[in-house]
This record gives sequence, structure tokens and C-alpha cells, in this order.
Amino acid sequence: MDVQEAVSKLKIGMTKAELDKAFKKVTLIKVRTVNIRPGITEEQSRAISSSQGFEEVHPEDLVTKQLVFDGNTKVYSYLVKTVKKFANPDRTTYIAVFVDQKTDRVIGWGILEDIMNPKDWDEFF
Amino acid sequence: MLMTIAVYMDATKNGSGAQLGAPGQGTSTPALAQLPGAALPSAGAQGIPAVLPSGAIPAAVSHAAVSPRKNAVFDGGETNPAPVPSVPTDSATPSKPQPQINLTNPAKPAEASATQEKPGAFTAAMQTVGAAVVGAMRAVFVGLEKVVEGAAWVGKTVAEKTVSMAVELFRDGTAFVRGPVRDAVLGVLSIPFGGKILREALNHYFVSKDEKLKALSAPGKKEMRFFETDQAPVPGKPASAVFDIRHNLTTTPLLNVMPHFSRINIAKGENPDDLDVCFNEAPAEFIEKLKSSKSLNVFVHGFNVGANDSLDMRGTFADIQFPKFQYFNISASLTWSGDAGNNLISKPLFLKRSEQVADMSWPGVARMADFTHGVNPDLVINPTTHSLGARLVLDAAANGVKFGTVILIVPAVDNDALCPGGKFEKALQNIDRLVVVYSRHQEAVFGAAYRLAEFDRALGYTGPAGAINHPNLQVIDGTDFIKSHSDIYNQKVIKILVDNLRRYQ
Repeated sequence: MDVQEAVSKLKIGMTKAELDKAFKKVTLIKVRTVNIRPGITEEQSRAISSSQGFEEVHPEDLVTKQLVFDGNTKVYSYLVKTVKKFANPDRTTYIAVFVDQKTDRVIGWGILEDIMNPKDWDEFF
Repeated sequence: MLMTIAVYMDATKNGSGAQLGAPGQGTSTPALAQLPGAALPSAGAQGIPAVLPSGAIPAAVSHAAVSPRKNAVFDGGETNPAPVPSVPTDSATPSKPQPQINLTNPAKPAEASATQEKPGAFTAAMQTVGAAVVGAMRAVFVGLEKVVEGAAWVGKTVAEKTVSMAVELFRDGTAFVRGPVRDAVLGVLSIPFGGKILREALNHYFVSKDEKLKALSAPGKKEMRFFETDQAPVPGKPASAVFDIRHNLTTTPLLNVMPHFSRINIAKGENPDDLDVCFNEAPAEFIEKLKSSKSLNVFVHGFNVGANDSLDMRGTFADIQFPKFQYFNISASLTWSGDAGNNLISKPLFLKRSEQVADMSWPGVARMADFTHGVNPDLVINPTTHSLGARLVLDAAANGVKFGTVILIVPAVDNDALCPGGKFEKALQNIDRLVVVYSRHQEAVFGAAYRLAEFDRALGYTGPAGAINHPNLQVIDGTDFIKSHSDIYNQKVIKILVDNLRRYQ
């Protein structure tokens, strides 16, 4: 499944169960929680989240403004593509879907390109 | 009543004119048929209408006469086995009256046909067969004509495309090379024939109009260029910039077949110390941060990294990973032409070519140091390098550029380069603290590619070959946590970086 096809299955307001059904064939690589990182401020935590290689975010200001760092939002990251590059880290493209745990609704998603190996991701988004 | 057909004949088509009358009937037209090329010489040559006697031209002739086709004879279907009397015609005697075709009254075709004998059954059959044969031959000839025309078009198109591709290849080098197939074919051609490797532009930056920045350019040198970003600033993100020392490069024809003959040069009009500065926030803001900071962390990428991808190293370390350790400091990417292998073959093989670029590019690093020290003379520059990026920093240090902490992650330099008598021994005196991280888990890059290119072992693969005379040296065997040449973003490496870079905060 390519990025466009995967994104076409997403709808804001869909439940986690609907998300699971739509992304049944896509590899889930990590679940992280949107939370303030230990020892730093919310602004700095948001800056870290914003710095992850977003190609596209929907809604546009989801990460920079809307996201609430209260531990109630989980991010489900699905691997879409991996590009190998000689002598350099693989470039992975993944879709990060934000789900509000309290309402059990998808509140948005982002398409990210990252050189970090998912095994090195921590539990914070 | 007469109707006159004007038969315009080009002198070059006299032959066809002769054929026109071949199947003709009557008294005068058949005579024309027997005089190929001479039937209407003067008329055809001069574009004067030839006039034939009325009633002398059969339907086939009239059809052929108005048809431009040379092989109008195939239109005939009218054959007359009866002997045709020959009428001598002398083109050299223009005084003789020219034959005339009288067709003034097309409403009376019976008048013409009345002169013909009615064909018998055999003749009719033969006529039918003949017509079929002629029709088939015509179709074959028309088909052949189309085939020839098609072949000519294909040949012309292929020739034109080949020429234009060759021209663009020599003129444009990699800028023209797009897509894996073209990349492979044209890239291979560029090895023996040479070409240009064009500098890749950075996305999301535009030329700054801030006139004050010009004052930051070192006097007496080529003016630096300054760029600003079109990306919105993110609150809480440490200040940063990009130092761009990429070049347009030229490869030498015939000397690029083997890795060890991979000559490469900086394009004419460019200097090795050319420097562009791209700000990731308002320029004044970065300059202010630079003035008030004790140190600047500079991240230097390695081999086979494009311009835009080269920014990932700083972004991942300084914007994402370091803040997790509560470490915030201004930082910069140093982007250089480490992707000088311009095709699928040369990318893995031409490590040597990128080494040359690294060796040529150190003046850009020196210029970067001049620029930052021009803003803040006390600023300590701490470079972190990956792979081939080590060469730029060590070259610059060997040529007098002062650094604080230099962290070489799996450096692609010889394992004796820092030892007494080694290529970069002189660099040690200009480095305050040196950290070398190596790993034995790099078979593809260091075990094979580097070995083939250098006939030596890499420092990042084996660690130092002997003693290194430096008072503040740390050599770390990262075999346990660096599982491949590119495995540099894991938590242990990040911790090593943070611990060492904090010293100057």
C-alpha cells in the first residue's frame, strides 16, 4: 500500500476499531504517547515533535498547535516505505495517526520521512 | 465540342508522362506512350499545357493525367492487345504540331468509347486479372512506401534523440540524469567521456535581501551568499543554520573508468572556499545567538548524501535527540559534495572521487570558521562527523583551523592517518579534544568499498593502527552498539555526543 492509498482510508473522527480495519494490511511499527518529555517544557516537547520529518500534516496545525500534551493522545505509526541508501541510514516513510483515547477518535495524521530506525524511537512522540 | 485537359508535367517527371499513355487507345495517344520521356518535352519542361486531340484519350489516360502519381500505369485496366501504330515524334522539331486531346465535352463519353472494340470473354477475364494484379502491386508499393517512410522517421527520430541526449549529457551531467535507467546508461557513458556534476540546490531557502549580512563576508574574498528559509519558525527549537560548501564539479574524460583514476575538479568560476550561509530563522536572530554562545555544534555528513538529505544529520541529533537529554545549543549543518559518484555504478565504487572532493573542500570549512569567529571570536566550533566527513575537518585542522571537541563517528580515513607520520598528524595540534568511535560491523562499506578504494583499513573500522599523540583523546569501540556504517543515531552514540559536547556549554 502506498502513502496516498493509505491516507485515502483515513478520516478524522473514525474510531480506533475502524482504523485497525482500514490499516489491517499495513505494518504497525510503534505506538507512542504524546506527552511532555521528562526535564523539558511542553514548548520544547512540541518542538521535538515538530522537528520530526513531517512531509504533510492533517490538519495542518495539528502538531504545532492543536496537540495536547496530556498523555491522552496516542500515535500509531505505520510503515509505508523503506528506501535503502548505500553507506547511509535507510529512509523510512510512515504515517503517524493520532488517536484521542478519551473519545476513541482519530484527530489527525502526519506523513513522516525519517532516517531514525524505529527501534531507536522512544515511547514519546 | 472539345474539352481541353491541361497536362502539366514537370521535366523530371517526363518518364511518368510517357507511361500515362501506355494503355491508351486511338491514333495519337498511343504514340505518346512509346516515347518515354519525349512525349511532351517542351510542354512539360516549360510548364505549358500539352493539348491532345479530342476523343483520343481513354478514360484511363484521363484519370492518370489528373493523378499526380508516377505509377499511374497501375490505374490502367484497359489493355488493348491490338498493335498500336507508332507515330514518330521528334522533340527536336518543335515546328511539328503537338498532339491534342479533345475532351471538351465530357458529357459524351460514348464518343470516345465508340472507337474501342468490345472485349471478348477471355479479354475481359484477363482485364480483371490484370486489374487485380495491378491493384495488388499498387498496394504493395504503397505499403513499401509507408514502410520506407516509417523507417526514415524512426531513424531520424532516434538519431535526433541520440544527438540531443549526448549533447545534454556532456553539457549537463547529472542534472540531465533522471530516473534509474537513464541514470545507469548516461552515468556509465559519463565515466569514459566525462561530464559535469551539478550542485544540488537546497529546498526551502531563498536569497536574503538583508544588506547588513554582506558586512559579514570576509574582505578580499569572494562574497558569501546568504539565504533565509520559507519555513515557519518552531518555538522552543534551538537556533541553527546550514553552511553550504557544495560545488559544481567536472569529471575528466577517459580517466574515470576505474576508481583509482577518478579525477574530479571544481568547475571554472568557483573557488574552493566559496560559502553560502542558510539561516533556519531570521538571520539577525541566529547572529545574536552566535554572539552569545560559547560553542557551535557543526554536523558534517559522509559519503553519498545529497544536499537536502544532508540536513537530516543535524536535525536528528540537535533538534530531536539532544533536547531529550535537556541539551540545547546552536548548531549547523555543513553540506558538501560528498555524492560525487554521479551514477549507479560510481556511487558505490567512486568513494575515491568523493575523497578527492573532501580533500578539495576543506577551504570551505576554514571559511566557515572565519565567518563564525568574525561574529564571535571566542566561539568554540565542535564538529561531529560521519564517515568521509572526517576528512574535511581533519584537513581543515591540519591547515590551521582551530576546533574544540571533534567527534569522528566511524571515520573514513586510514587507520594510521592520525598516528605519527600519518596524513592528518598535524591536525591534532589544532583539536582540543578528539573522540573516535569505531565499529567492526561495517563489512560492506569499510570491509569492501573502502578497502578496494584505498587498499587500506579505515580508522572507523579497526580503530587507530598505533599510538596517537594527543593529550585529550578518547577512542571508543562501538562494535556492540553500531551494527552498521549507518547505525549512528542510536541512544549510545547520542549519549557520547551529548556528554562530550556539553563541555563547552
